[in-house]
Amino acid sequence: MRDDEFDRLVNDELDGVATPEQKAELARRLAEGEAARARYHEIQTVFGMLDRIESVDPPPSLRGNVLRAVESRARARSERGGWRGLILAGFGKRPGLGLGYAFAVGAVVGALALAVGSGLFDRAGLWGPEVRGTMLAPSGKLVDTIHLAVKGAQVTGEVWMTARSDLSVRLDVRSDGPFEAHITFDPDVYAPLSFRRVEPSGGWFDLRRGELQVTDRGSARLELRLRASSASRPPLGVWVGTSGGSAQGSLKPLPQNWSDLPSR
Amino acid sequence: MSDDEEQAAVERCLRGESRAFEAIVDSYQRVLFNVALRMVNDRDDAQDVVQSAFVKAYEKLHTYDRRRKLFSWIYRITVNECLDHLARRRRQGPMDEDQPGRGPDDALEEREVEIVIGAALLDLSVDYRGVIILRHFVHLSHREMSRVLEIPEKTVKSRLHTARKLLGELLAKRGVSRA
Repeated sequence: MRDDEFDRLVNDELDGVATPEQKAELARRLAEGEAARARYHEIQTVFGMLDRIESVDPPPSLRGNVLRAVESRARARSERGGWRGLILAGFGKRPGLGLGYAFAVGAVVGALALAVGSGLFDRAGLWGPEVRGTMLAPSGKLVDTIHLAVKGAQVTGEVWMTARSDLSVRLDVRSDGPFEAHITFDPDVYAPLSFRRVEPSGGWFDLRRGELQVTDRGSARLELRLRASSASRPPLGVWVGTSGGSAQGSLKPLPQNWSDLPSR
Repeated sequence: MSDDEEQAAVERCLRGESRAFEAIVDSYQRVLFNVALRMVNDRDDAQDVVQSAFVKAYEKLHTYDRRRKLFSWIYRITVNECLDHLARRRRQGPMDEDQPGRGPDDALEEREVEIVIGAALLDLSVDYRGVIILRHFVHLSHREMSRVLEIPEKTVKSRLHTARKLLGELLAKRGVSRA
C-alpha cells in the first residue's frame, strides 16, 4: 500500500467514516511496523490540535447591526420605490400631468443653475451653513462642502485635497439614533487608500468597489481617502439615511479656482 | 430552522418583510462568524465580514436560486467577503493581528494552539481552508459539506485529506510536532 493510501485510511478512521474492512486493514498495517504507527500519530496530532479549538460566540452586537442595516436598506428601497411608483403612476394615468411635472422640474433646475452660475449664491449657501473644523485633523486644502439634514440627523461632508493630491472625503454625522451613510465614487477613477472612523458606536462599514457604506448610531466622524488615477475628478455622492428618511448630495473635488483656495 | 421554514423566511423577505430576515440571521450568525474568524484570523474583521455578508445576502436575495441550500449560498457570499477583505488587508500592508483569543484565565497552551493553527490556516488555499473550517470548527459531516460546497462527497474527503496533510506540514515547519 502506498503512503498516500495509508494516509487516506487513517483520515477516514479518525474522521469516523471508515468501513469495517478499512478498520481491519488499518489495524493490520499498524501492527506491522513502527513507521505506520508514527505516521498514524502524526495525523492524529493534526486532528487533535484542530479539535482543541472551540467554536466562538459571535459578538452580541453582530445580530443588531445586521438587522439595523437590513431594515435601513428595506426602508430606503421602499422610499425609492414609493417615490418612483408615485411619479410613474402620475405619468401613466395622466400624461399631461407628467409633462407638467417635467416642465416644473426643468424650470427649477434651470433657475438654480442660473443662480449658481451668476454667483447669486454659492454652494455653501445653497446647501446650508458651511461648517469647518469639525473633522479629523485637517490638512491640505478644503475643496468642497455640503450639509445634509434629515429627520434625526445632520451631516456635514467635506472633500479636502492633500499635499500629495489625494482626496480626503470627510463626513461628520450627528444623529439622534441609528444612521446609515454612503459615499459613492467612480471606481474607474478613484482608488480607496484608507478609511477611518472616529467615535464609532459599534457600527460597521463595507468598503466595496465604488462605494463605502457605514452603519452606526449617534455621532461619528468618517474619513475616506481616495487617489485619483486621472486628471478628471468626477463628483462624489453622499447619501444619509435614518429611520426618519434620507437625503443625498454630491461633493465636487475639482473647482475651477483651485489655485485660489486657502491652505490650512 | 427547517428547509421549509427557511424558504418561508426567504419568501417573506422577498415580499418586503425585512423582519423575516431575523430568523436567517439567528440560524447562521454563529456558524458564519466562526467561518469568517478562521478565514481572516481576526475577531473585529470577522464581525465586519459577516455583517457585510448578511447585508449582501439580503440585498441579493432575489438572485438566490431556491433549488440550492440557503446556507450554501450565504456561505459562498461570506467566503467571497473574506477573500475581498484579505485582499484589502494585503494592499494596506501588515497589521497587528488581533488573535482570536478566549478569556485571560484560559491556559496559555490553548491560546498557543489557536494562534498557531490560525496562522497556519492562513497559509492554506481557500478551498483547503474551507473544508478544514467546515469539518473541524463547524462540525459538518462529509455529506453536509458536500451539499454546502456543492461538490461530490468523494471530493470532500479527498480535499480534506490533502488539507490536513498540508496543514500538518505547515505546523511541522512552525516547530509543532506534538499536540
